[in-house]
Amino acid sequence: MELVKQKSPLVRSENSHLLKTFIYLGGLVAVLIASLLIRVFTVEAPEGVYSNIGVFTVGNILMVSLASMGTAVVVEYLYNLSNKEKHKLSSYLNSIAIGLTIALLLPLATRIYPAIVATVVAVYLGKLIYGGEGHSVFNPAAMGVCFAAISWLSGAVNKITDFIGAEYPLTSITNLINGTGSSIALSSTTLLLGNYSDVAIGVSSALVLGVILAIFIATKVSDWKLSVTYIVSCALITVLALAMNGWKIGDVSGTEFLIANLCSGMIMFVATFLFCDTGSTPSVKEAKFIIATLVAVMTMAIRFIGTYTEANLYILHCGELFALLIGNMLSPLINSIYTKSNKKTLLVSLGVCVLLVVAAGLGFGGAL
Amino acid sequence: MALSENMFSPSVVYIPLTDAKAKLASVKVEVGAKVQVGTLVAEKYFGKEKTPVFSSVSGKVVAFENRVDVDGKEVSHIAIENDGKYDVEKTLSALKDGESLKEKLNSLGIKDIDNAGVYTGLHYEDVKAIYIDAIYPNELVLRPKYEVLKERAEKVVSTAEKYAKEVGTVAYLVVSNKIPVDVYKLLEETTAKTENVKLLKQKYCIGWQYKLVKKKTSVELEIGKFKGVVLVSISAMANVADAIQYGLPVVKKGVTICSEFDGCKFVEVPVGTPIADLIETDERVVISAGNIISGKTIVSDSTVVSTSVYSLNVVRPLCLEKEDCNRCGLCNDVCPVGILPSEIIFADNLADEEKLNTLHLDKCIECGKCSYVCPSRVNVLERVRRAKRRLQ
Repeated sequence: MELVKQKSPLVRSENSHLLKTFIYLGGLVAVLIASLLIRVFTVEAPEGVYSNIGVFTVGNILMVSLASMGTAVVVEYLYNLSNKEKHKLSSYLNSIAIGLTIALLLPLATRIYPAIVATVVAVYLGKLIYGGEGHSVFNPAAMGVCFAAISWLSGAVNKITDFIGAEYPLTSITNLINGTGSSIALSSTTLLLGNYSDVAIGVSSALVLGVILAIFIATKVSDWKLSVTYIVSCALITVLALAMNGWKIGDVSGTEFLIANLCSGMIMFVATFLFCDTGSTPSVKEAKFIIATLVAVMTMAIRFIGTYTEANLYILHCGELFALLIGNMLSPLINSIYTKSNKKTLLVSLGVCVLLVVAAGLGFGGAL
Repeated sequence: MALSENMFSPSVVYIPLTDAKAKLASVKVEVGAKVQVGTLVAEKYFGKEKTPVFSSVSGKVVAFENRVDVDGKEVSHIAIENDGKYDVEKTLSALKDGESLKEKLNSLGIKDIDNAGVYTGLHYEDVKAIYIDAIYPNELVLRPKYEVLKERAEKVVSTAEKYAKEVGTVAYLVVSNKIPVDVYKLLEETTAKTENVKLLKQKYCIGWQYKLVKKKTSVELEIGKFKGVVLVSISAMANVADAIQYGLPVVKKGVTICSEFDGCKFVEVPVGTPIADLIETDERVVISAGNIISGKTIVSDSTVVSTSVYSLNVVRPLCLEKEDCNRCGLCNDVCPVGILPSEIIFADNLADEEKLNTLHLDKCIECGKCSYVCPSRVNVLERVRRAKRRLQ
């Protein structure tokens, strides 16, 4: 008998980090495929709205995705080489996931160089210099996309609106809130199914994103305390705001507006993918509820009371990402408040979340 | 008292003369002395508190030597060559009518039996409730054979009744909700005959003891602290039963050996039996005493079965690629006590003692659930233990 000194536990749960990373990447690939299929086989939308875009954008999407993923691998490799660090499969997979996430968040007509720069910023400045996965202060993908948005991308977005000659769902919502619009360009069904082209490559189909989110929650890739709280908070804030205005905005019923508000922009994408980054989100249960609610409040603030111009169209669509980055910034602070987790702390935290949602809902409703 | 059929008989036993608490011993026999089961061979001291040490076999004292104990420390042991006859000291006698159980057990050195981890050992004052853990510690990975529980039922229940009567409270015999129907029925019938022993079914999960006691009595168990609730294992009750029935100190232990190679078996062994004698394999193995999640790893093949060993686990080493903690917070979510292991690791990494002092490390019951669930394969329990040592 050869005795090995290995400390307990002598069995571990089957849930491993590498497996979760593979599932996460699988979700991203599924969204990429869905995005490609939407572009190739888009159902003819009501007149004057969206039309089949075709091979050009499919090719562009693939090129941007490959460029982002390739850049991520190169940055990771060069970093490990220069710092004489071990090459770890899970770290490479994480970087590839960041690259693909960035690609899916970029506009349809993005050239390759913003994608590459965004990925370098995300992987190197957003992840590696902090110590790798699980140590980043900000969500790397959100950081990279926001950097690119501010630097380059509004122009690229405007080219697409000229090309397809219609407005995005989020633009309709913003116009309704401002009083300069009276309807939403697409039906609720179209928004849910996602057979339209939104500003970013991968954010169209709320249904696909919802199914992936459910799979992520079941496999513990995503923590429901963050993603579900975020979606529910956004929904409740919208409901309260609508309730203060007779359940109507312009000619649009409250239900239609609610569905459009949740399905448009990046809300579903952020809930599904970006809250999975464990380094930039809190680790304490109660703090997760609070941060998710705060991010939802800021998302809705940008939508309800943010200023919109044609020049900052893409930045408007990145409102969720900016809200997330502010949430990331507040995460360590909120996390450090808690020294224990029990029923009392949970109830108090949920109470704070409810207060935030009610205050936001009533506040934004009053501003309408 | 006859030797039981299931009893393992080693050629030599090595009885530890000291333990984690009592570090000094005064030996009462010399090399060459003949001893019987229950012969006083030494007295160990913790301050002024004296605990007797008894021979677990009949035979001859052959040596005093150092061996590594279950805690990984080198301590002095008395080596007794077993003559195989199991002759018991005639001076030992059963508990008499009217005799105090506490005094009887104290005279036999059965004082701190079963006080490792969240188990409390036996107490006699200010006892609100007694819980006897009859759930197999490794039910997470293996369903045990319940024949042993069937055989011990009568003995354990009557002992629990005596103990509960002496302290003036109710004893709960806690069994798994997956227990076979016939075993459960037998236990039900046996406990129904008593006034103050009740049967309780419990779903197994890591840290169930803490949750059950908190739910039933609002008491939060802590390691090394008695807060009015007695929690002991069924193995300890079996030893108390031997003390009551035969006047025997803890000279034998019922050990469940859970092996990856040949399943689960129960065997009674004299205290001091080398663990290497019980496990036959040529493989590279990890052996731990206790449960498979938070048990103590045996670091030397000279280690013996002491009075606190009731379960041994034999598994192949895990090949895990360990990663850094990625702060997912899963350990925080599963902790039955409600402390925050990920924050403890973070503060320990920064050597932030001020922060560590606020994180309720003393509440940790070392159940190991945090380590079990960690997707990055961090040994969270060891990190929490390290943080505790930093604050000591």
